[in-house]
Amino acid sequence: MSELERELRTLHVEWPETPDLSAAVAGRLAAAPAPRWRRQLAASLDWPAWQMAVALGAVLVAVVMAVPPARSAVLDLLGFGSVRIERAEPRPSDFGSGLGLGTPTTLERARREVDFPVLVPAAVGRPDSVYLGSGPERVDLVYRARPGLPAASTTGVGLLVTELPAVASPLIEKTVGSGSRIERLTVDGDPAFFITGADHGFAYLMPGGDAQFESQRLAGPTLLVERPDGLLLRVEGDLTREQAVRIAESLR
Amino acid sequence: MVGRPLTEHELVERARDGDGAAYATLVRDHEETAFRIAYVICGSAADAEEATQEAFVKAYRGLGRFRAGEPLRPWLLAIVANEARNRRRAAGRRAALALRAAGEERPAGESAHSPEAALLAGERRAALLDGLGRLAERDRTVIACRYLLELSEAETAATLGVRPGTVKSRLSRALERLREEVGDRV
Repeated sequence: MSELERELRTLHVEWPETPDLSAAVAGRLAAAPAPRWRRQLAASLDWPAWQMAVALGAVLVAVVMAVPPARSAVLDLLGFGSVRIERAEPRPSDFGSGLGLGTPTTLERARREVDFPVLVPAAVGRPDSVYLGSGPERVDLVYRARPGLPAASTTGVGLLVTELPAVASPLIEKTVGSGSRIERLTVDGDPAFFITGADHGFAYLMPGGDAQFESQRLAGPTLLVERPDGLLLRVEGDLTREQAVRIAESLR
Repeated sequence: MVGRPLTEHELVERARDGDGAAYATLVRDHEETAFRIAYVICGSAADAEEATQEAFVKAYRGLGRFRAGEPLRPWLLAIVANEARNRRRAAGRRAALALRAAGEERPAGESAHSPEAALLAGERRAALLDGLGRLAERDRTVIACRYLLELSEAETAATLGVRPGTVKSRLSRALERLREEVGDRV
């Protein structure tokens, strides 16, 4: 080894301080997780536009988390300033259409249409109706009230199961209405939130990092489960925590 | 069951399955080296931070392309270096890299040196780092990888985006240029 090499090896460089990248990266990934089934989607997206979406999402989250008045302002700006329950006249042909969930479809067609696996809770069996929503892509399973599933809406709906690629945890504490209570738990080891009280709408982040707000659809509490495959699961109905957890655990 | 830290392989597998916490652990293990390489390439801590962060996000999304069983670090460093070079190019800056020698801590055994000798040694260190900072990006990167960050030849090759066999010749050329830069006899 030459003298110069020896000198270089013993040099102690005063490096700039390494930033906390793991936190920053984790934050960005939480805003836009990319589990296995979404990889192709990520690859097909225009990269700079995607970066922009993530950056915008991150800024929104930061503002929303930081200042409650700013949070309402941002939500207002996005067009969901307050939690509203919207119910239209029930249309008997499309059970649960009054919930404003999207386009009625079948389980099979929903499975062909969306990019994520559409799961059905074995504990309650096949849904009475299925809705396909867009912006973001989502599937809603609607169940008629029956013994064990008390009616949770005037339209006779007993249970609503929503599946969409999203995460709720970054925004959950800040966006659930003040009249409600959040209980943290795990369902099959996955982080979950049981929301009870006056209103249980919640904000969530879509894969691109944009925030969205989801109103409550039924009376009764909501269970949210963040699955490791990037799917956010909502179980809503007039159910106890244990009943809701049992339904969530039975998803196949 | 005995709790033991997960191996890199296990962490990678979990991260592939969407486990953000597992990936955060991998980032923590490699962020310092990754950031320093990006700093050497970009010449700016702010650019280096952005490049490294971006690279780690891209790496997460590209984990499907990572061949299981291979060491993660060279693969990560290649992505980081690539991102850093892109950023440097986009910024259009060609400023010299500013590296400073750390404090006056002398290795044991040097304490008997006279103040003059210490001063000379300090000047020499500063001259070396100045010279290194003035080198072209590829020259300073290969030197920084091998001597300042003590990466293996394989890791250095991945960082430079060259075959491992090319590292030695790149390094010797870079050392020649550094000698010229600091006025050593060649």
